[in-house]
Amino acid sequence: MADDNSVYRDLFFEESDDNLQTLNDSILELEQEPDNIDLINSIFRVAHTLKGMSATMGYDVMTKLTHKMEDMLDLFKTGKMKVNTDHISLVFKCLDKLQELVDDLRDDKELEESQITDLWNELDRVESSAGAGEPEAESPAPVEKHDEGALSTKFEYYDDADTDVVNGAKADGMNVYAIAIRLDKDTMLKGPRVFLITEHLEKDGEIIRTEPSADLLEDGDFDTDFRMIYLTKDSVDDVKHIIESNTEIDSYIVEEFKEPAAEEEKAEEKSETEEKKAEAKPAEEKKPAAGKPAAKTQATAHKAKNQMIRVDLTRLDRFLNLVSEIVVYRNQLEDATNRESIDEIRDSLEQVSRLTSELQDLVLKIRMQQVSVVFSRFPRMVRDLSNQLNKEMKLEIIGEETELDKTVVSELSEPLIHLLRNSADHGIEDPETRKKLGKPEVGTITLAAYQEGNKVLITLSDDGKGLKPEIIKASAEKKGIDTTGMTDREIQMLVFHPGFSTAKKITNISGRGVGLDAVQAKIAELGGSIEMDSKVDVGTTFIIKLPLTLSIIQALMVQIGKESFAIPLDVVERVVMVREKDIMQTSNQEVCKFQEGLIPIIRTDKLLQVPSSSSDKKYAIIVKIGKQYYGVLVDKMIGQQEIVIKKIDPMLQKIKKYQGATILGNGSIALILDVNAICNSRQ
Amino acid sequence: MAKRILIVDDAVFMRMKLKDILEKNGYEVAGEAQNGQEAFDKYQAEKPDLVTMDITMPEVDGLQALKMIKQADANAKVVMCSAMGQQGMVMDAIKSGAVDFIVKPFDTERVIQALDKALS
Repeated sequence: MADDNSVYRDLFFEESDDNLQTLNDSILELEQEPDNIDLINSIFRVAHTLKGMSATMGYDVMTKLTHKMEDMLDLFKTGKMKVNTDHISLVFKCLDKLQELVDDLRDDKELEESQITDLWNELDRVESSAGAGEPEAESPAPVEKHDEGALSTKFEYYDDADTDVVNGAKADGMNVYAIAIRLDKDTMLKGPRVFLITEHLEKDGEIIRTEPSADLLEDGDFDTDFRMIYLTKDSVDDVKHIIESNTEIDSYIVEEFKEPAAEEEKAEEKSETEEKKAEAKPAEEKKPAAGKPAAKTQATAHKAKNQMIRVDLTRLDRFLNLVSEIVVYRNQLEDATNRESIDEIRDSLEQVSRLTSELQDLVLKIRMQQVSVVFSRFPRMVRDLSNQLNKEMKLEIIGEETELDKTVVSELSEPLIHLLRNSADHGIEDPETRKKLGKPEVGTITLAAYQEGNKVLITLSDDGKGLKPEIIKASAEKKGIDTTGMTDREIQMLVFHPGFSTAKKITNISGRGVGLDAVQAKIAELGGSIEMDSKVDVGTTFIIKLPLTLSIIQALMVQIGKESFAIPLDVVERVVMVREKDIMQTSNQEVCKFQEGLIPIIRTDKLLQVPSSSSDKKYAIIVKIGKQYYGVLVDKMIGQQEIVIKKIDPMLQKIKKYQGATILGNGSIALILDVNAICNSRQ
Repeated sequence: MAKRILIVDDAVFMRMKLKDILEKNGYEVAGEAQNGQEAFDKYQAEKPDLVTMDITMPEVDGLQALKMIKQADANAKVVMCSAMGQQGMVMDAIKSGAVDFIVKPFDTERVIQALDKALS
């Protein structure tokens, strides 16, 4: 029966991703140091691991490609082929393809041979041109003769020299045996297998002759049968015992050695010899172990994608400690409650509250992931970009160990890729231009992450040409955006305007369509903000501010009618009291005065269909969304509170008014207003 | 009493796979190590009945670890885990005292047969 590998799937994917990432990084390094043999060895090792893993899972197509790639790496390793840029690019292609295969497998897609044909052929071409093109290739389909029929000790060649040795040994009182061994049909690494058997035998005697020759045996260049003449003092049973201590032997014969001349008489003695089927299991039964993957059957069980996270064991240990402490105080509480001792209850409660806040911190930390998870793929990207764009640039990464909530980290790559492409494409100038400007020819893009309070800042800066206000202005006007009276900085900020693209030529790098507005939207979705600072001919810097975590936030608790709601505190600018008479009606909306201007008022009671209190006195929660202020009207203020965000039903999410819900101290539920969505729907 | 095995492999995935095979067939996993050095240290601490040793591992590879273990305990039983294409390494391992070797992808029967024989 084939082993059910489905339980290992998640682990397989996670480790494959890791291994592919490692390979990407190492290959990138290899391009810089093509002669670093340690590096080549470590690359080879990782590729090898990948091959072993995919073979174990029974993913044949992936195994085939990893195997072929390994062949190529082996040429580097043995020095038969020099590492050059083309080779590096080819290996990268393999890695991309492998990633694609892994992703397909993750989605329960059956892999097709055709997915790798082109790449495989390309590898084959490169490998054979390196002169190492042993047609060993994918299916080692041996066209050679098959050992079929009965196993025999009959030697094909025999010469007199052997006779002398045999006779000499006999004279010394040694036994001379003819041994024939048939290996299991699908034995792998036959060379070492035979070597192991002969090693065992030679501890107790001497092998004077083998058929096929020792060289062929060592190379595994034979089918399943081999014969030898063995000199020893041991009895037949002893020899059998030695042979049986080996694995993967299908059957064997041990008999008194007879010179070929006497061979014919051997037949009737056959009863003496023994042909033993080693723990005979029909070979067919063993075969399917690595055969077809159980993919089909897994498909049903694995529809839902499980997100996995790796956790530092010490954190989990602390977690366990805290929980057991809580259990202790719970018991104390029960005990104290039984005795109705208020003081003791209070003491225990204090401990419980300390422990729960520690637990809360810890769980948040467990959910944290280093930004390196995302950053690590960028060096490769910048390398490719620099080749495609014929510009020289390098990427510097700072603070990749900075941690963020896993959900944020996994959403981060898309916007960052976009910004990076922008920098590479529009920011960094070509080498000649840079030279003229007195800049180093190699452009630098710096990606940095660091924590500041309960926010994480990610900055991406380039030392490129910066945003030229004149160009942006011209481009904006062409698109019908009014720029009159705008400062240079305001004009630069237009790049965040929906549908804006400054590239004079549309390239396939930063393309058209999705602009920086999409980046801004994504960051806002993650509860963060993005700022930009750009100086002409000096460079552009984007600063992304993100909350450390999405699951616990500071919120302003308010009441509308009789219902409690939470408003995330980070969008709240301030709270002002308003009366009905302060609210004015303009042509299309209600507004009220705030600072020097008028801001739109949002009546939550109408929007959320909650009956509001009849009181004239209301509170306007002033929120800032983008650059626009809004006043969200509520009846009562409850106060500031730390809340845990619970997911709500997708149906409720669809109405785009609530981010989630939270459970209050008294056990009731409050919905969390999605202020972003509410205000934007106003526009 | 169940025989105690130390599993050495740099891939968690492989270790899990092997652990599963062993535990389903009445072996006890005495420990796991992810490189040769760790293997040596765990061998000293756990004194397992047998070690399954991957060959390609970072830092100290399986071959070095095998030699270290054999030097410390000449009777140590080490079964090498190899993949196709590692003939030379396996030969070296056998010369250095490995009792047997198993080839990835692992076939449950073969693994168990190798271990049973090595421990008999």
